[in-house]
Amino acid sequence: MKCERNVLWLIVVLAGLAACSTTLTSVDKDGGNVYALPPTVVDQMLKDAMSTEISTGTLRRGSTPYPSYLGEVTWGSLDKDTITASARPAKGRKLDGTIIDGYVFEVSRKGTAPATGEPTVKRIFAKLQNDAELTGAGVAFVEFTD
Amino acid sequence: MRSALFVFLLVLIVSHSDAESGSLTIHYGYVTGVEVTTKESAMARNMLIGSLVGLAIDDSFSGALSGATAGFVLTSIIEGDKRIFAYTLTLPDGAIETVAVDRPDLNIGHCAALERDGKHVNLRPVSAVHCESKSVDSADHPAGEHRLSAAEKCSAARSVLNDGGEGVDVRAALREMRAYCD
Repeated sequence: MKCERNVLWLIVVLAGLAACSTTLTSVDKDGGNVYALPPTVVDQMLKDAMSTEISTGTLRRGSTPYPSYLGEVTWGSLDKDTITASARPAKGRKLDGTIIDGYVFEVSRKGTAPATGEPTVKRIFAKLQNDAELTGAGVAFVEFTD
Repeated sequence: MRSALFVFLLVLIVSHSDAESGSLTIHYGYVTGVEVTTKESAMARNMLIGSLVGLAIDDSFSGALSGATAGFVLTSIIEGDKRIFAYTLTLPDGAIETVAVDRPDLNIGHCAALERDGKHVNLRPVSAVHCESKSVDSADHPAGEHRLSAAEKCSAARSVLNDGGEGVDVRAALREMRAYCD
């Protein structure tokens, strides 16, 4: 009886560890970049980055009031990760001190397929980061406004 | 009479500024320094970076900052933004240019093209052939016309994306940016 209980706890712990999440973002405690771009532009950037990694069958627009997309990737036949890429509204500061509105890019995964999900979020984030840097629209992060 | 002269001078200054803001220049140079910005050493490094004017960070600041102001401005960048990299370029004629940009993928010894006009600054790695030529005129460099054309298209794509607006083909502008700014 005691052995069965231990096995049950082990399964619960393993399931908890497996169903983890990861978030990559262009800001952290040391600051980061806000990209002062129109919403139509960040929306298209998110869509482009996601569509190269997520099958069109699962890719859909998120329910957030700001631009976001989500979709699923799988590992084997049972494990699945949900990948979300979003552009959170934020305020940034230009070099002259002016505060302007922009977006911070975030890519996250959640689910039971980290072996597929982890490299996928890294590639999607790298694509977004590269696009964002090319726009030359980065300003210093001040705060989120969502 | 004096006020008329003042107005005349003002018009001259304004027209000169407009002409400069529309002209795109490309300078090639080897990367001879990369300032990796950290909060701890920001203050000390800023004074050094600020004194090497030629700093080109933002449309409203390119070429218009005194050393002290540039240092102050860069302090605020570094403190709020961990992804600014200050590159020092040594041009074939020995001149030094320092530019602060987002991209982290250039190293000492790389040949880079510094594209600058009134609205944007872009720094991109290019073949070392460009850094060996003594010519100042971009068009005289190998594939110079091509480079100039790419820089113009990059600048145009960025303007479209930054301004946005109705009826803008965002997908096409993003494709142009990826093709011509990287």
